[in-house]
Amino acid sequence: MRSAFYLLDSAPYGSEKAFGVLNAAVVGLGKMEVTLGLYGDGAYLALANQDANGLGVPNLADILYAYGEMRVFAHEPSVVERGLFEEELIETVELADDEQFLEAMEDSDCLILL
Amino acid sequence: MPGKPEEIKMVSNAMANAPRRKMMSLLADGDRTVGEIGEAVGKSMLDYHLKILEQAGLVEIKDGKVRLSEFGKNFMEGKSEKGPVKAVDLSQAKPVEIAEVRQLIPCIADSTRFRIIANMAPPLAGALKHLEPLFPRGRYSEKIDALIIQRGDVLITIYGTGNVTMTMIKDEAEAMSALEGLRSTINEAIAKGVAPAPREKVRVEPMEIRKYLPQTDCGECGEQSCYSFAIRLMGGEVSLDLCSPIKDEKYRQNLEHLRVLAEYI
Repeated sequence: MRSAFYLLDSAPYGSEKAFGVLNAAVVGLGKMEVTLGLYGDGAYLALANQDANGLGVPNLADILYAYGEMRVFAHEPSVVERGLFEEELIETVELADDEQFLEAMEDSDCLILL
Repeated sequence: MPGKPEEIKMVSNAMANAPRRKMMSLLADGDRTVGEIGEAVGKSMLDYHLKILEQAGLVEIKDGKVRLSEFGKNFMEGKSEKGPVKAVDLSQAKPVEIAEVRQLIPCIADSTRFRIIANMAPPLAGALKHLEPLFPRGRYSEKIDALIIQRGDVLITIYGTGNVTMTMIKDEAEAMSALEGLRSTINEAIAKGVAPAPREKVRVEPMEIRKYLPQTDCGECGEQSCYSFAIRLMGGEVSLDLCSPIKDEKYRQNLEHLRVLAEYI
């Protein structure tokens, strides 16, 4: 089975990038081995209890919950830098250090970012 | 000992990383030197990972020796806890009062179905894993603290935090009735205060089924590949009889294996 690594390196809200990457990743589920990598400001997507009310966009955390079978890596140094390590994260998110994150990217057949 | 919400989050995030989980299970078997841990788990970012575990209060590091703290020991014991102790916790659990559907997201694989995000309050938290035996095809996942229940096509995941997700649901009414069903089953068990005895379980994976199929992807069964046939077989949607190559004499043993596996689906 082919594998794809979807990289999100910008904040989940404020642009449609995160929503786009999430949708693209979800479409590939079942057909490919899909990994979503959250890097830099993308790490904010790992937070539990997101409230998108008033923003006019879907709650992106709910999409991660809905597709619990998707492998999601959050780059741990990005999480720590943003002070999110003491926050509650979505249960399906796996924290990955530099090396694990890079390895997951390198192991995938292709890398997709918007 | 961690008790405040932010400390509990530190512990859960410290355990949300594969190398650190390996370090913890290694230490549960006995104290180790930093060098020994490096050899077993890998030297990259070793100090960093140990520091995170230390900050979370799970380990103590002194003169190059690492051992589980009292809290770390209790934490690891809690993880491997088995047997009748479980029933005690259930009697302390609070019944689910609110069960509501939060969002319907169209299913990408089948546009006539939905994925549902719902909510249960108060969250079941620690009681969740004791509920596993209530559901014939239920499995508690320690890693994500969630109970995953399979009912035909529908896959239900209940998280310890109160989030509930369901796949392949026809409409909101079906979601509500499934949710109500869950709530009453769970509340009934909580009212009794005793979880049923854990059942002997064999978990069957599609990959395991595929291993015994001819793996020719011939398409005679109407599926694109042996893997997709395996998935549908697991879901109880197709019967093994549809696979004609498996009836060939050379696959006789495989067929027997498959019949045994089918008993556990």
